[in-house]
Amino acid sequence: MQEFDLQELWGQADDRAEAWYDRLRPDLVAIARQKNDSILQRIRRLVQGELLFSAVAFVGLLFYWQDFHLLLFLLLELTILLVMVISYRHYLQFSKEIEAVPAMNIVASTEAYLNILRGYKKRLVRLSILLMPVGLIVGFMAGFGLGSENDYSAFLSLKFWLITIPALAAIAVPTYYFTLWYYRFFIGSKEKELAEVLERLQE
Amino acid sequence: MKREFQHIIDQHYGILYKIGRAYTQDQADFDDLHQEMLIQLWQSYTRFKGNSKLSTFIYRVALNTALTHQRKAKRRVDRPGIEDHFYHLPDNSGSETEATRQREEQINLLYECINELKKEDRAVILLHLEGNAYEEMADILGITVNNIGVRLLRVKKRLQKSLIAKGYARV
Repeated sequence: MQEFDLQELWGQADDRAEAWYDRLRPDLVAIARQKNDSILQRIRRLVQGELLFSAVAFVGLLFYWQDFHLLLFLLLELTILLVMVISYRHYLQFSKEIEAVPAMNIVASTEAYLNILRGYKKRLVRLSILLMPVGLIVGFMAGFGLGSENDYSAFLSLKFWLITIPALAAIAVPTYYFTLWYYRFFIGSKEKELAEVLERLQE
Repeated sequence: MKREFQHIIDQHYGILYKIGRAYTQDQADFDDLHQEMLIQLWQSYTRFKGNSKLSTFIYRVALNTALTHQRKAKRRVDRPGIEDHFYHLPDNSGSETEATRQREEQINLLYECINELKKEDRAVILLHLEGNAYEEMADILGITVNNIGVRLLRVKKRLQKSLIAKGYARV
C-alpha cells in the first residue's frame, strides 16, 4: 500500500468530524463545564471527603467536651487536628500535581500519573492499617468512658492490652488486604496498563 | 472565556474527533471520551502560556485524556444534542451516494485498524497522519526524534498488515 492512499483517506475523514462538531457546538461549553469524572479527579474528591469528615468530627466533638475526661478529649481533638493538617498539605501538593498532568508531554504525564496513583495507594494502605485499629480502640475507650462516668481504670490492666493488641493486629491484616483489593478493583488495571505504555515508550 | 474556548475548539475539533475515534470502540465510549477531553481542555487551557503551539497543547491534553480514559460500565444519558450516527454507518439521511458510502466504510476500516494498535502506537500514527513534523511529534510524545522515526516505521508496517488482512490495501 502506498502511503499516499492512507493520507488521502485520512484527509477525507474530516467530513465526519465536521458533521459531528456541527451537532456538538451549541452545547460545547455546557459539556466542557460538567463534572470531571477522571480517575485523578475522583481520587481528589475522596481526599476532599476525608478532609471534610475530619473537620466535621473536630467541630462535632467540641459540643461534647464536657462528657469526656479532659485528657481524652484533648487527645482526640489534637489527633484529628494533626490528621487534618497532614491531609491538607498532602491535598495541596496532590491538587497541584493533578492540574499539571494533562498538559505535559505523554511520557512525563504518564510518569506523573503513575506517581500520583502509587502515592495514593501507599497513603490509602497506611491510613487503613493505622486508622482502623486506632479508631476502634479510641472509639471503644470513648464509649467506655461515657458509660462509666469517665472511669478508665479498666484500661490500666495488662490483661486488657494483651488481648486487645493482638486483636487489633488481627483486624489490621484483613483491612490491609481489603484495601489492596479495593485499589486493584477500581484503579489497579489502569495503573498496570499505563505502566506498560510507559515502559514501551521508554524502550 | 467561553468565546475564546469555543474559538479554540472551532479550530481544533478535528483533533478531538480523530483521537476519540482512535481510542474508543463504540458510540457510548466515544461520547464519554470526547466529553472528558472537553472538560480537561476547559480546565487546562487557562494555564496555556504559549510556550508551545496551541495545537501541541491540545494534542497533549487530548492524548493524555485518551490514554488514561477508563471505559464506563454504564452509558451516561445526560448528554444533550448528540446522536448515535456519528460513529457507525450507515448514515440515515438518504443523501448518500455509493461512492460516499464506500469511502465511509474505508474510513471506518482505517479507524478499526488503528484501534487494534497499542495505545502509544495509535498516538504515533495519528500525529503522523495529521501531518505533524517529527520534531513536533517528539515534543508531544516526549521521546526523541530518532525514536519517532523508528517507531513510525514499525507502526506503519503493523497498520499496513492489518489493512491488507481486512482486504483494504492496494499493494
